[in-house]
Amino acid sequence: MSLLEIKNLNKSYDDFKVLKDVNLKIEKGKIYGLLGKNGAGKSTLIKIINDLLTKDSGEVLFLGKEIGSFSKAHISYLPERTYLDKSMKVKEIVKYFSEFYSDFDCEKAKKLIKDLDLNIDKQISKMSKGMQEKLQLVLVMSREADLYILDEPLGGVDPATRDYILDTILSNFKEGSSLIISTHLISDIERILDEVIFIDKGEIKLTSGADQLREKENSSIDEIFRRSFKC
Amino acid sequence: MLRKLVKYDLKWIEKFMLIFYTITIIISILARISSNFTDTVAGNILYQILKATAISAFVSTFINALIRVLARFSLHSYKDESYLIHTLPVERKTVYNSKIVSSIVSMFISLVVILIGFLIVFLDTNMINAIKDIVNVSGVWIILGLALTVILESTFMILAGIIGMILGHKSNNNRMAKSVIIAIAMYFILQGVLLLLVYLFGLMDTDMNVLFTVTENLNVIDPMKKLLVVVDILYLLLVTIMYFVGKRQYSKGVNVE
Repeated sequence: MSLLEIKNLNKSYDDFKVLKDVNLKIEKGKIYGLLGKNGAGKSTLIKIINDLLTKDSGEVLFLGKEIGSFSKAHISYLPERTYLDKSMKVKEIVKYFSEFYSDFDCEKAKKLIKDLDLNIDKQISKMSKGMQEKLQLVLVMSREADLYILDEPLGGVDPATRDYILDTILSNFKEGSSLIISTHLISDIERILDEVIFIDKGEIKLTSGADQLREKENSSIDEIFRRSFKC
Repeated sequence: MLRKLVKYDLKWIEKFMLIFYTITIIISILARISSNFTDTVAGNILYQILKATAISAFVSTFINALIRVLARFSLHSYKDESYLIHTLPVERKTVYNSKIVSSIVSMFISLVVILIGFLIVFLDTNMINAIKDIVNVSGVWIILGLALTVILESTFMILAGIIGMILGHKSNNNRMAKSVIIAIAMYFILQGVLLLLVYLFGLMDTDMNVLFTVTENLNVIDPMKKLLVVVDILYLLLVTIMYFVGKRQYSKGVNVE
């Protein structure tokens, strides 16, 4: 059984179809790159998987069950925006996560917070946007989840920090679990990908193993993407 | 999970409301103290100003409590923090219930503070005697019935706001504007229906009918008893229906911004 299976998924805003008949399978133990231009439908797809948007039709199954509180207990999701209660202190949000997520590793979170030079006594509203994003990454990666979904984790981050974030992700996600990274910054992440999913205008254009695709096209994923979706 | 959600909601709401509670009580105490100096013109002016300020503080506390609970619902259901709340391993109906419980508790606390403030400013022997007379004639339940009406009216306001937001956010555009319009329209239409039902009941009941027809030598206690019972039952019915409508719509799913 696939970890996540999406069948004939459709979503539209008024007359504009954002997702068109999307079919997708996510298997256990692999790192997927959900790659597409801005506005291709990546975030909409991720939001539906995380039950943040209603779908028009189709099915989204996590371990064979429709998404809901069961899937949320096993999926660790990093949105593209800052979403924490800014009136809380860092230590309070760590406590919050440990109260709600049974798979949350409090000690790991505290260690990562220290490693990333974040002040555990600081109020979130007094942290810069970059600091808040780091904190969110720490919280998401401190869960022992079966599936991690990271929506644009490198957006708005300088190249040096991108590598640091990728290393943090790679060294902290649970062995045997899967990871979906949505981004348009392909060159930065292609070294870590097992599978790639190209999405454009709400349609899945290609799903393939990253190495097979590189061999077949004799070029990097980034180059293949640029060729495929040239404006 | 419900208990945890309610705990965090109350903490967020009450941390802010504590400022209003403190101001309300301090102004009420100052108004009470100034009532001892009304024998001079300046003292009387000061008392009148502080009394008016205290009344403004009561209104402000109520309105701010209402705004705060509705803001919490909006933030957690559709704004940035919804990305956290809707990805917690919690049923959506539990999230909805937590908002309703924390809202009712918050409104209740604000009403208690307003009552305390009111008693600090206005409680005197005349008021004590009037309360005693009412309790002697009709029993303590008439006061409890009145308190229940106020709590149900507050709950009614909260639910109108929450359902307005849920329905407003079903559409793709102008969600907040639609939420406000639906909430206000629902509030006034349902209040109109409630008034109409009370009036129709009054037409059929001779005791209650005197409230609408007789203007002199009116014995209001018995009709008022009945009126309170009818109003409370109707409010309870409306609030229950609104609660289930909101729960059903919210459980169908949300579209975050």
